[in-house]
Amino acid sequence: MAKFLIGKGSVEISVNGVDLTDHTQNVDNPKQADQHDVTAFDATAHEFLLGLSNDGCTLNFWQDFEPASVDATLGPLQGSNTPFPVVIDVIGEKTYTMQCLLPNYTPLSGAAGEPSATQCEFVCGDGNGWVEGVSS
Amino acid sequence: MPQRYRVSGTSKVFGFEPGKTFERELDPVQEERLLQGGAIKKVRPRPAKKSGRSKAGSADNKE
Repeated sequence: MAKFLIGKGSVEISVNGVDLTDHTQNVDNPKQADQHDVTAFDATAHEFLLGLSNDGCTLNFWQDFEPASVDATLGPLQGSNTPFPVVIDVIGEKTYTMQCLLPNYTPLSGAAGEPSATQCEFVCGDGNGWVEGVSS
Repeated sequence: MPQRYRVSGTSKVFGFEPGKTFERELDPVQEERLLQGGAIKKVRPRPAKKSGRSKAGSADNKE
């Protein structure tokens, strides 16, 4: 199996239906679960049980204030309790879809002379976590 | 009920290229967010012409 290279034509990122692939610099979509330490007195090592899934998503965007671009898409989402879809399409392989919320959003971040980027941490908003599908 | 929209920004929306129109039944909150962000615009259906009033050979009768 070929090693996978993230880049043009291999991954598409959309937030609330808007394709922000051309402004996405970095993606992380961890599938994770809460872990509970259930170590008892007779143990010689820690013992854990996994609880609820706690999926999330971190996307780094190059900021753009044009209509329909990064700020116009993310701004209205921040702070709302109405979930919106984040879709990561690994083209030709699989899709990852999660109904998300955006607790925090930093419209402007960066130092003098550097491109402005914004890092967004999306949390699950419907209790289902990442739902996998087949990419078309 | 599905509505017709035009992709009005420079980014694809639901896979539709900028300038294209699509028909979809959007969740009202999602619609509001997309309209607010300028990603889409509503395409209002043209009012139907009353029959018998259009002239023969007009654009309405071509096709």
